[in-house]
Amino acid sequence: MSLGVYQPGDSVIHRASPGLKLTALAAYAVGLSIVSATLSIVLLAAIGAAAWLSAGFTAQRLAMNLRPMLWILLALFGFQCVAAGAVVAAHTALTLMALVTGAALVSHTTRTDDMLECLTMALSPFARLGVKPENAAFALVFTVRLVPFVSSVGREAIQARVARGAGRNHFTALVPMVIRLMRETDALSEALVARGFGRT
Amino acid sequence: MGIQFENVSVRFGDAQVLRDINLVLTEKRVGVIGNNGSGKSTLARLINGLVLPTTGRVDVDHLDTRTHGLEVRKRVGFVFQNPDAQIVMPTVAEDAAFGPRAHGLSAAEAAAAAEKALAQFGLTSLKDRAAFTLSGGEKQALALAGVVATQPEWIVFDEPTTMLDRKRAKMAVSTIAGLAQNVIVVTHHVELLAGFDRVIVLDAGRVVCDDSPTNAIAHYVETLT
Repeated sequence: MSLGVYQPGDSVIHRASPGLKLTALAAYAVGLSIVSATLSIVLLAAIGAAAWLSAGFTAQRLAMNLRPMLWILLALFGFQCVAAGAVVAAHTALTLMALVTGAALVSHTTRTDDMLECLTMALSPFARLGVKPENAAFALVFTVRLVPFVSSVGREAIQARVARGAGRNHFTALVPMVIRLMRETDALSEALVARGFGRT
Repeated sequence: MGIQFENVSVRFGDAQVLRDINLVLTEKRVGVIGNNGSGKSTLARLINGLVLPTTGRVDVDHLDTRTHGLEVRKRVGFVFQNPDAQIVMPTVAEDAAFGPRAHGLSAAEAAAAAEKALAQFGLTSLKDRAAFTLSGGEKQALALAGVVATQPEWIVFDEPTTMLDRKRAKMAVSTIAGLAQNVIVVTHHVELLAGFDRVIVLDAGRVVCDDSPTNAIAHYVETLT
């Protein structure tokens, strides 16, 4: 399973409207942010996991979605253990995992077109302020498309350094990665125009 | 009708990329060859308004690319050298439907157009796959399907075989040969142009030969390689 990509299915969550799913996700995120009792956080995380399974996805696939954030979680957990104690650190880690589960569930069960339509409608009040709802909605959806792309560019930048004997220092790979991303972004924007998006 | 370059020059900063190009393209299969830096990719990008001329004008079916960009891009599809840069949506089916949607078709119409194009290039079974997980050849096919789904009159290919192995390159050649649309192929792989109607040779931003494939390729091989 690929992060952020729609997975066909016929579950109740697949069939629910994108607006309902985004609202539920927002409520879920707010809920996770405001509760502080261990039991409440565990309960909310369990609800997220149950929703994931009810959409027809496996626990193994959930682990695959969570894997990219493993190092960040470990670093954060370690820092918070020292700064605020093990209980707070566990709360934060569980909250973040639950949030990613919720976001992945929405993106995996919603077609891009449906998401675009929903976001365009949600952003339409901002048209009075000069915002183009279609473009803003597309930018949000396009961000999801770029996640694996940025990840692969980062991986290649690190591999290129390793191949040249420079070691696996992720920070020194940052500059070539950013330069390549800027070049690739130019190519992507050219492709968007060529395919009829935007510019007159 | 067709594509017309009238006294076209292009300059990027201090670099003069194209000089005094005058061409009328009406043939079904046109090739453009030249060494790296000869201006052939810029010439290709002029055709659908991705690059605008510094001086002169480019018309597609009498539509000026400077003032009618969207209409021109409906008529002229563009297949980039690197398909990764052309795929903009998460799944195969969504990406194939992107062009038709951008050109104003409804979601249902765009999905139907995409389905037809995916079938044409043998991608139906991959329609729900994440586009970035496809192989190089499949990505190239998707890039072309995404363009064909918009039903353009012309398709411009910028170096379509450069990133492919020999087997995939051969498949690309036969795919291009089988297209119903008028085709303009920019390449330095001259074997790609067998059976074309016309080949234009560029050098240092100028047209140095404009002839049949046999004569133009001979000129290119003898004088520029």
